[in-house]
Amino acid sequence: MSDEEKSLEGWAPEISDAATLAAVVEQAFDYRGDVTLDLDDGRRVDGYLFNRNRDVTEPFVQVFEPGQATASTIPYARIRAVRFTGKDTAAGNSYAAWLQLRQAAKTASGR
Amino acid sequence: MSVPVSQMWTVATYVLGQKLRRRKRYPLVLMLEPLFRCNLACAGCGKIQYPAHILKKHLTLEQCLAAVDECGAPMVSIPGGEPLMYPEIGPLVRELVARRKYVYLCTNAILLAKRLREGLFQPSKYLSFSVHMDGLREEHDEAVCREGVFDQAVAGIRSALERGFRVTTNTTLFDGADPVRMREFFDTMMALGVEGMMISPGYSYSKAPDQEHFLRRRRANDLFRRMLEGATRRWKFNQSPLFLQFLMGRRDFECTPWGNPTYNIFGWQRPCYLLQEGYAASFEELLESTRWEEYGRRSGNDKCRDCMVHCGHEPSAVDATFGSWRGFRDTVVATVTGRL
Repeated sequence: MSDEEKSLEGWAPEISDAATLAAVVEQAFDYRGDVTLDLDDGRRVDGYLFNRNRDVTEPFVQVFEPGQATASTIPYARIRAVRFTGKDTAAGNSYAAWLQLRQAAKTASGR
Repeated sequence: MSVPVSQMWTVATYVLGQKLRRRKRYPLVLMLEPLFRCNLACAGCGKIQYPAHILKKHLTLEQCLAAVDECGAPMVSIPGGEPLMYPEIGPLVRELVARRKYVYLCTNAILLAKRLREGLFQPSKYLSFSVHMDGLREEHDEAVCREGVFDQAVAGIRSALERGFRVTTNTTLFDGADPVRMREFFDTMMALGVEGMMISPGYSYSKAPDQEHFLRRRRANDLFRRMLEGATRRWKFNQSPLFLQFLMGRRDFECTPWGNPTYNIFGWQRPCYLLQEGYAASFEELLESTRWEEYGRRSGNDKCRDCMVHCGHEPSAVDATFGSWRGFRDTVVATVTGRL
């Protein structure tokens, strides 16, 4: 896996302030796996973070939890931690990786 | 160009109507993605890289129709995922045809013959199957990472044509494409009897980590020039000739990211079909709250620098056709003579 493809899977960053939270949320938004959000009331939300908006009075994230038909909307202010707990479905799935595997298979079969 | 006259008329009156109303931003084609699930797993495809519970989700028929009505675009493209896996695809297409929307159902055609045998669709001038074909057998099977798919797609195309359906192809070209092989591919598709072909350079979804394999602008111009130069009259393209000239580097267009707005299970995608920078709850919110000035080549946005993809530039080409007499004349000349 190249540097560009390094996965955040398993990452549990320290969140010390609002700026860090915003940066981590951006990474969670780009992440192609589920994340776990720890909230201020001790509740945990596991799911796919598919949206965030900081251009509104009360910035929020939106998460699809497995088995839920509608998305949950959670204000940034309630998030204490973001952990990258789900499998990264994009990791190692690039076209380049596939070409390498294919070439290796061809070489192995003598084609 | 192979777009039926009735479709050209619908698009022309729609665009002129928008201009008369001095509407600065209007949609041309709604990209309606009812699901991300697919029966292929093409390398680098960002559309399928989601957790299983997301891939199991799909829009309801009501959500799809509400998006179509809210958007108001005269054409609806249904990509995905694989739309023939969408459980409501038959009723959805029926409803869109009843609304007189021109529908492009984008499919890999693996399930096409089966769905046609099931009687899910009826031929209509409003419905076209847009079959994903990335080249001849070797190139296509390599692009979709599975052998035998080209032959399945050809069988699906034949089956649809035999039943009287409109069929077009859509081809995404990646770095390393061979113009000679592509010209052979165009001949093969036209001999098969498709109504027309659509071509576009590829782009990497920002969340798909593969950047280096996608065409950069200058190389893309060179490739399309070599591919389309002296295009024979046999080749019919189901897209604006001005867009094809843009691909060949013969004219320049800025991106129109709102031209092909995208709706899927997450909402209205900002800013375009390719970039996923957030979602709006309504089409109006998408138009009003997206910072459009941050997108397109002139914006300096790195993600847009080399993009020449159809979803942003074909609406620009159509707008240019109806934006000036010269644009209109150039379109007519290219359409009538077949010269690009």
